[in-house]
Amino acid sequence: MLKIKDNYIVQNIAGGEYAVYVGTDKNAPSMLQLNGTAAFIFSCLNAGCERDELVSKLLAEYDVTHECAEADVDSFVKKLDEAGVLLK
Amino acid sequence: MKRESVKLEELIPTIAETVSHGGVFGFSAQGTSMLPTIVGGRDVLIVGAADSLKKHDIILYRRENGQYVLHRIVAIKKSGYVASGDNQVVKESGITPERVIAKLVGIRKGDTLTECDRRWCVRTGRHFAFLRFLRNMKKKLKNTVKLK
Repeated sequence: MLKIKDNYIVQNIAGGEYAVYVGTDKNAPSMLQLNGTAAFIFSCLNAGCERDELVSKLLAEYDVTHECAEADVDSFVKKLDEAGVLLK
Repeated sequence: MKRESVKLEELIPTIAETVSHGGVFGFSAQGTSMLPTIVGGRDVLIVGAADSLKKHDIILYRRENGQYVLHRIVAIKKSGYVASGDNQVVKESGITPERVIAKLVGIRKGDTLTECDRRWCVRTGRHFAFLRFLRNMKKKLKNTVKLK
């Protein structure tokens, strides 16, 4: 199960979508800018989601090939993991 | 996904909302007025709720002209807080509690987090108060020499 750590919310700031940390951990990344697809994936991951389920949701939402959806999900999940916002 | 800086003014509603619920918020430091305590473009400032403010605390507040700044409380008067940058001589007075958005609770320098607790605030506050005194004395001496 892939899931975002607690206390992250998606918020519109100055016309852009951002994942904003609203918790009490001073070491947590405070803000990550998201494009439209990233904001969609982030919202799914906030609730918790399996990788294949995420690919299916992306395919249902966007007009992309299965390979492209898989690549986007894997790439974004890797970036979230590197940023330290993904639960392990 | 990328990390990007947003103007401080645009972050204020998010900061105010986050700290009002007990959370902390981090944003990139800008400017030189708080050098060397805070290095603009390098440090990430972590702010929390502005509760029980005391002398030497560092606060994020709104100036009357609408500008947002992060300076240290150097005195507390009936008319409000008096604040100044650690790298400044000029003091700004009459900062009412309503204009204070948040209080500095930490500074991230790379992977290192400095906790800006009461002890840290007093120690650094006294240090820069002494430096401010020396800078003022130097300025007065220069003026006296010029007059002669």
